[in-house]
Amino acid sequence: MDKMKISQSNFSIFKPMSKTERQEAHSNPFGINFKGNILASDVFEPTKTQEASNSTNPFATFSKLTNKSKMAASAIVGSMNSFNEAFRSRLNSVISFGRQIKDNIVSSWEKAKNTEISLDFRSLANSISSKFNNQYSVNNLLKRPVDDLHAMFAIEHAAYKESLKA
Amino acid sequence: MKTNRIDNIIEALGRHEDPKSIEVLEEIGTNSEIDEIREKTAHALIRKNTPESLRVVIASAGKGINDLSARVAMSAINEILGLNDKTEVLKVLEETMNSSEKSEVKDTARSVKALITYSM
Repeated sequence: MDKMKISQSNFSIFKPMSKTERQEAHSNPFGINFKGNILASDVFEPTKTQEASNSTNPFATFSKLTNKSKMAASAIVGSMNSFNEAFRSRLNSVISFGRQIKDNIVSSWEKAKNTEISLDFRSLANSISSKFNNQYSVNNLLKRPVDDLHAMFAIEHAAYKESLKA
Repeated sequence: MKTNRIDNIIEALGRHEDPKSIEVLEEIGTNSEIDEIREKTAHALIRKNTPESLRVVIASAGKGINDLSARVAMSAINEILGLNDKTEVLKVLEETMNSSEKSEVKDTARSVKALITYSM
């Protein structure tokens, strides 16, 4: 009785195959597709021998059924493979998105670390006081007598006219 | 910057309680060569909404609604139409239609009055 060691057994049938490998592995010369998947099973088995054997084989109908089940099984395996590919590509896009976010966070953190925040209170106070002490603001102008506004209007009007000429 | 100052002066004169402010606006603003300033002055006088200020923009030839610039005239008419209280305007328009010597001024006043009545 032969003893079979597990280490000796060939597990190549479980190895995932690329599309081209799959095409080379079977004898299907036309690359027949079933629902978008190339059929891995050899559906082009010689029929004559089968017919010959059919005459004697009482389980001929069963062999036909097994051929059909072969096709179905190969289609399922093919679809599983394509599903894997689609899943892998989506996973890759999710991973790259995550990496991009991580890079962005790291770069913004670096930028924040290297940014100095300073507040110039003097210039801020000056700008605020200039806003409130602007003699040409409407509120301040309203406090002035009309004669002053008359003079200011005349001066500003003349200056504006000159600026348009220049 | 300069136009901002002028805008503020016109605005302040328009809101000033001293009636002399109308004279200042008429003297410098409505007689200006610059359309923009005439337009803003007309707006300030209309917003004052007093018989004296409205007379300047309604009954004076070449000023306010009678301005030679269509843009200034239309802008003044638009400002009049936008007033909430139009009682003073209607009084001045009626007065102008009955008493003005110039037929052009009378016609404009009549048209503006018709516009106000239709828009009310």
